[in-house]
Amino acid sequence: MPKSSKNTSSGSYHRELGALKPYFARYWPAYALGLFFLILTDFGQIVIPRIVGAAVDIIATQPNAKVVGQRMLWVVGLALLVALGRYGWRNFIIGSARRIENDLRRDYYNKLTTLGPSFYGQHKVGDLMARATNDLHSIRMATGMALIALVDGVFMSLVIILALFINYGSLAILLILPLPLITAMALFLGKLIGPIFKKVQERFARISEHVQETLAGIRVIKSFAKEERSLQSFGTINTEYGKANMEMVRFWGMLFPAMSFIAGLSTLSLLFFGGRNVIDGRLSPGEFVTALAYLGMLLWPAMGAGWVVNMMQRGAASMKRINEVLRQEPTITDAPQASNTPPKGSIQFKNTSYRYPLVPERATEETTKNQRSSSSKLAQDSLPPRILQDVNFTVEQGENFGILGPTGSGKSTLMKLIPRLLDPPENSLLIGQEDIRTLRRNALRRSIAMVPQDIFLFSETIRENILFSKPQATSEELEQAVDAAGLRADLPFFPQGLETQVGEKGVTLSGGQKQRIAIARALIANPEILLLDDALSAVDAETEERILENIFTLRTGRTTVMVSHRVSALARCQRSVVLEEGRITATGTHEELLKNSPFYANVARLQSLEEGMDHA
Amino acid sequence: MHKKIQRSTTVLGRLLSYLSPYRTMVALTLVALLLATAAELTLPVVIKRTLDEHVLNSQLRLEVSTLKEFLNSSTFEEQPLSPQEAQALLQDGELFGSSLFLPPSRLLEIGGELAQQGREEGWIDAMNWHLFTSSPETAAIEESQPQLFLSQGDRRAILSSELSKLPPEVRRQLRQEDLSWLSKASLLYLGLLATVLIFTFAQVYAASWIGQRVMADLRQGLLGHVMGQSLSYLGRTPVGSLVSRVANDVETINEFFTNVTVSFLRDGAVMIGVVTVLFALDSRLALVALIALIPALFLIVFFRSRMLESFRKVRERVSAVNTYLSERISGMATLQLFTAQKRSRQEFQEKSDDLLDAELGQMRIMAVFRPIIDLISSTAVALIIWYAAGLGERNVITLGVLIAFVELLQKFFQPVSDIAEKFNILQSAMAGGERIFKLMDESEKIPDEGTHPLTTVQGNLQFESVHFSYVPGEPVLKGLNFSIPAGSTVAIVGATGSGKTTIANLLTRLWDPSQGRILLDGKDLTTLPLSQLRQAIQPVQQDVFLFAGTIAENIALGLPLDDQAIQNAARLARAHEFIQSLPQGYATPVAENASNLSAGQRQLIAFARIIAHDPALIILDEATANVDTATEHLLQEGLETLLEHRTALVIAHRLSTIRQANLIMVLGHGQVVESGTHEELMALNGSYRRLYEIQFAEEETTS
Repeated sequence: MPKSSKNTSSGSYHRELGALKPYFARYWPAYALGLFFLILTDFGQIVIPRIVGAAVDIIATQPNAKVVGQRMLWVVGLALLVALGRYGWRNFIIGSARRIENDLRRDYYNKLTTLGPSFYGQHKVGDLMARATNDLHSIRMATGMALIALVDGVFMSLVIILALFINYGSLAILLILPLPLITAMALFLGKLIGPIFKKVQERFARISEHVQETLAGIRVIKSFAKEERSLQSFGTINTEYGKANMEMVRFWGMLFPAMSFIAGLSTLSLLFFGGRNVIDGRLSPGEFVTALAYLGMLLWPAMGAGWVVNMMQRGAASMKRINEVLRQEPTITDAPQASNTPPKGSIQFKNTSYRYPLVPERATEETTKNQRSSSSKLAQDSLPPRILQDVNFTVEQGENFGILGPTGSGKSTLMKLIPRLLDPPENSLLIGQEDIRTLRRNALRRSIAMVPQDIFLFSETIRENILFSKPQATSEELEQAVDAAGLRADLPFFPQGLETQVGEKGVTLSGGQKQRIAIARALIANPEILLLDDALSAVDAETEERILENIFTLRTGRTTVMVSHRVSALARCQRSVVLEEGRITATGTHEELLKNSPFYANVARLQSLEEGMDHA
Repeated sequence: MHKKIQRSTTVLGRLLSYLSPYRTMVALTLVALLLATAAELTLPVVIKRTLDEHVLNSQLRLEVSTLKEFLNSSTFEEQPLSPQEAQALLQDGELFGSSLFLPPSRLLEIGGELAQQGREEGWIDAMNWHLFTSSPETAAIEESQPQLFLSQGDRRAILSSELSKLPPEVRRQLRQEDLSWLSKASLLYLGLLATVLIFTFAQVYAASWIGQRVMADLRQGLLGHVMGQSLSYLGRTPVGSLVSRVANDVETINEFFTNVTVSFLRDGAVMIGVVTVLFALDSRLALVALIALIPALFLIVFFRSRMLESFRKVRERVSAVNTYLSERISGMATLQLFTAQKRSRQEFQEKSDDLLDAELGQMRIMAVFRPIIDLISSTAVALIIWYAAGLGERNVITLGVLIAFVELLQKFFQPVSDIAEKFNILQSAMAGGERIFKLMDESEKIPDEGTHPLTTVQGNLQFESVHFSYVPGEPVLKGLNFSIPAGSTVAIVGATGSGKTTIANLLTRLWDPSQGRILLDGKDLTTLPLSQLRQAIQPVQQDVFLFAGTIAENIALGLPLDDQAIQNAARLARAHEFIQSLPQGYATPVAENASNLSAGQRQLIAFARIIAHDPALIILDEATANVDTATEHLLQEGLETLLEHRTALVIAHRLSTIRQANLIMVLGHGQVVESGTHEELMALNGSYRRLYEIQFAEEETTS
């Protein structure tokens, strides 16, 4: 991987940054104006030392306050021009870079809203956040400050070097000789620092991870009295981080002092060689002063050149990472002529099979694993196993339908196919006789509300979380959903009732509370189809009974499909299926399943405390 | 405002107190900083001296006779030189017969207008001269144009205007001495550059070293403090905010030490140093320079609050955008499930645009501030040169001084132009420090004052009218009374919120009862050392938590167990089989959020962990809720052997788990409502029977 990217680096930088063209096109007049102001600034900056030098010569030979005063008025005038120019380029170029960043951020987020679970399975939240923050930042630097430094540096150094050569001849070579060293050093150290910087970041991440993990598992740590041990290993992590930082300081701390040193060599060369020329009369004192000022002005482009190169490279690398997301094709898409009518009717599974798609990263992981294990396993492991195999059943409209199965039998996969969070094969999943793949996903999902196994609530108030599925809901609808979900009894435990903030900035909820809020959120949408994926696992049997009762009453005439581990809950459904190793092994009413499905009967038997002992 | 300043001085004081263990290093940093700054400020002075004394090296010619008149005069109040001053000049100068040669700076020392006056009165030559020592190389030119030179021994003098008419090679020969001085001065300059290099690096390194130590100390202290807090505190406080205190806020403190403090010290040293040097070189020019600083100060005062406000606004909005983004990325599936994409895009756009507005506002302020500072700096230079020209007319300034001034002024304005950025870092470091110390000042610990060491634990447990509430006014336990004999298994059943989990929390002293007491083998739990208590009583919790590390490490959890012991524990917990089938067996690492293990598998590992730790008393807290019934059945078998040797408290929803208990307690509204064996409770025809029947109503009608 790294080899191939290195070979094509310069070419790919162009390609990646090329993606910025449409954004630049939007703001080109501002950029043009900004560049004009930049050149204006540079012009003023270059002329001022010449006037100062001439004035010094006047003072050195025939001092005349009046003449010098006029010259200095010129200097002030030029300084005003420079200030205006600086205001101009900052406003136009940096402003445009900010605007481009904002546009990119918007496009990035809009793209994210279109991508599905397979994408999010491959990209961690932290990584996607890093792209939205660090990468956008370095793109902003590349399109703003780095661009300015590039134009400014090239223009200034060309003009100054030209002026030096015209005015000072061969002396100019001696003067600017040390300056390329600064650029070379910045580039060289930039390369060296790269891996160390990465190390520092990794070790910093370890600190957050350790704190995160310790505090998330604090109950376990306290219960097993492992506080000391955790602090000790934190100490090691801290020391390691400090070491990596010091390693970086060794280079980074050297960079600026060394650059100043080399710049000082330039002044030294002026003092020595220029001083000789003043002594033997080939240089006037004023020219000496002008050269001193020019060397000071060359310093910034020399230091900046390395920085510009680093920034541009970083910007291109960042743009590549943003492009990866922007160019991502959603794996699940709407068909071209998809219908926009929310479906209604029975849910029909027709020979539905499903295996998780092979993702590139996983595939490489898989191969390395295989190299370690026996070769015979290779063929088996190269394709992910089928999670579902030839599933056939129909949930009638208005039915309450249950699913039972051991852990890992594919229940959640089955549930996720219905709102097309996972993509079923063509013509294998029909709602109201329509293949769900012929529907727009948004239309399909308007008919469905789901309470998944792993519930996600936003860090907002409980009310906002419930209203998330239907912001325009009336307060009666809200109250009704709160009651039906069994959330009413929880409210006294929340400091501000429904207005209580949950999550990172609010209260920490128990598993059961999360489930009840998620159920209320699903109920308030009043969907044609309600999917409950083990949605009441954290409440006890009695409460589950009551909540199910409420839900079924409220939803008379509408369809509910639920996964549950409790036979007592499934017994309330009209019909249930038993799913084992991705296959339907039995379908029917509670009574039928007790007779026909050994698994269902076994679970029922275990849960009913062995019938024989009940009445002993 | 006053309060705010007071608050930030306390924060500053507390921050600085973290430096005290590293006093020596702090002293070293300061010394290095001072040396580097001093060397840096000496650089322009070297250039000035070299220019004046060696490169230009012009001399004034004075009439010795006039000086002698001054010397002997009794009315010296009216004459330009006092007899003492005239005497000193005669001693310092070089005597060529009736002429005395002196560098212009020597006369400047006596009085600025003196040279001008002398020229007007005619006792100082209107033209400048150069001096040199005659040598074989200069002999040729001396012989060819003897009229150009004055002689005194082997010393020669020549008019500057005559010298500049000679060709360069000749001039070089005549000024051999100056050239060799120039080489020496260049060497000195190089030495100073090296000094700056070495000490700047030393200072950066030492400051970073201190910063790293302080950070590690702060982090270690913070995490220790946080971990020591009671669970009621930790349960209320979101983990994310604690992580950002320990990780990110401490990082800004590092910025404070290595960046802000050092650069403020350095800037201060440079500015004071520049002013000192300026006054030493020429007090009139220094005053002019200081006057130019006044508008800069006004500018800073005017912009300061605006800049800080704009920086604060940007920070706030950055964090609003990031919070929103990270939340929506995490909850993208939910968002898509409820077709909220369009709404969310609009929300994000609004937040992003708000951020852009704040950033553009900040940019505009900076786009005005910095150019104006530069403008003031350029104007100051112009002013100095103009003023110097006036002085030059009267011959009261040397070129070297002027050049040094221009150089030094630029150094002087450098710190001013990036002061805004430094204020910003200072402000966010202060805010970070404030948050950190606020966290440190909050303390809600479970007191660990137990002095009675636990030796062998029998496992007798007794609750004596225990009251408890998480939220004041909402009691969870109301006078709970029961006792459990050693070695028995007791099951607790009851509805959600009846207080089952609370009992487990009180036993391990994650919380303490608000009234009443809990006794282990007759000793109040609060009299036992906390860590020993927690080794004796261990729970398996509802939400199993696995740490990053291998499965074996998660079972051993720091105990020095060999592979055999770990596997035995896993076998008893019925976890061995599935662990063996994992790609790396016991060495399989636990993925983020333990996503490579099913909920049931995580439970099994937690069971194995308990078995490995072999506590005298265990608490199974709804431990089987996430295991499917078949797995739970397996687990039951393994646990049965374990339960025989110890006291066990089982909190479970499933009655099958409870059946084997020696005693079943039914908890209702914070009290024990019923207790007895399954059969006794069924016969009692009360709450237990009702609970039982709800779950199994269906079967009873069919069978």
